[in-house]
Amino acid sequence: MNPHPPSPRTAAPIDDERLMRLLDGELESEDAAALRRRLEEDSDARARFASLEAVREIVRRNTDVDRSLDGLSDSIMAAIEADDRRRSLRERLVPTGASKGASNDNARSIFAIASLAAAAAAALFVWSHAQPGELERAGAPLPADARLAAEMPADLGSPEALAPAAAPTSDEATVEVASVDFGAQQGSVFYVPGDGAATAVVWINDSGEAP
Amino acid sequence: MKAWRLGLAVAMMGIGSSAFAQEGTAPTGRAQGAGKSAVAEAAAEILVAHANNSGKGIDAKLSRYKELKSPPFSSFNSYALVQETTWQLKQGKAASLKLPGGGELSVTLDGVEEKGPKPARFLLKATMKKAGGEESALQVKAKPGATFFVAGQRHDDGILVLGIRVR
Repeated sequence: MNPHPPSPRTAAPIDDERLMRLLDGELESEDAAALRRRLEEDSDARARFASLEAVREIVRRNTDVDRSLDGLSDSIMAAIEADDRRRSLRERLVPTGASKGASNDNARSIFAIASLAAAAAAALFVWSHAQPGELERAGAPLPADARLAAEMPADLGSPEALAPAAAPTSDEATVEVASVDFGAQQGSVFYVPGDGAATAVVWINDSGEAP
Repeated sequence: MKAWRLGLAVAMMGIGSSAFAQEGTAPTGRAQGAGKSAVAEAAAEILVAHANNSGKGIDAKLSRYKELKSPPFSSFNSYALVQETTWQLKQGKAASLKLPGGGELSVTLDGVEEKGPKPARFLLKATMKKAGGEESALQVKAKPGATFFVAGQRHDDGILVLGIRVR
């Protein structure tokens, strides 16, 4: 019997939700410190953390997301939950032009953010479970949204240094990743500052588990 | 919930696990457009490094790779050079080397892409295979002298970082 059972705060797996909450400063200080210590030991989690950080910054830079928009997101989530509770009374509610307009505006905002997040994720090439033989079909150029990879922040770890690197376009890139197949694993593709132009990096999120 | 997370969650719901494949809309690697001409050979410089957090710093032989000081490479505080080798690639023939831990790296020169007055780019295919058989493969277009990295495969207490440069 283990005389020192793991603390509940450190035993939880490092899922993306926890990493995002760490990014947004929503974890308690003890949880955040424990998670950062685990990140030092877990290269897979570190790579995912870096990817999420990059996605966040791409979205923020391109939508000028500020606190008011974050508040909008919270309002939308609260509204969704409230709507679920009022589901049985829906027939009594007559949507007004104003509420329709507001809900449309909210939907458009979230759609815009979702589209940009999708493009950012595409740019980071979060691949998983590619089908056998897909490499042959995927010899094609990347989706157009993948060009965002060329505009990624130079330093993934520092919001203050998020000036675009020497952003390579398809024609100017010293190395263009035309296609990638991670097989049963997951991975990312991005560019980091190097000697001159940005350098392409293909990062495999190796879980270390036996197939 | 922050707006970027809500947006990402919505995006991920729509993306699925294979949403980036574009079947039937783009040429395969074998059917690329006009302008591709064969190149008999190219020299490939292969670098194998081991990254961990042992606190030993970056090997002096790796000091020219400034990328190692940037995220996510900077997540590791130590880089040790494991192996450097040079291949003379012949189009269509894979060159391979064994990696620490029993894996294997293979690189194939598929050809050269020429676009008028712009410098030609080498068409390369690289495959990383783990000891257990899991495999990752990529195709790149690289200008002569350009370097790209493939990293993240676990080894001992860290990961392997492979640098590939073709000229």
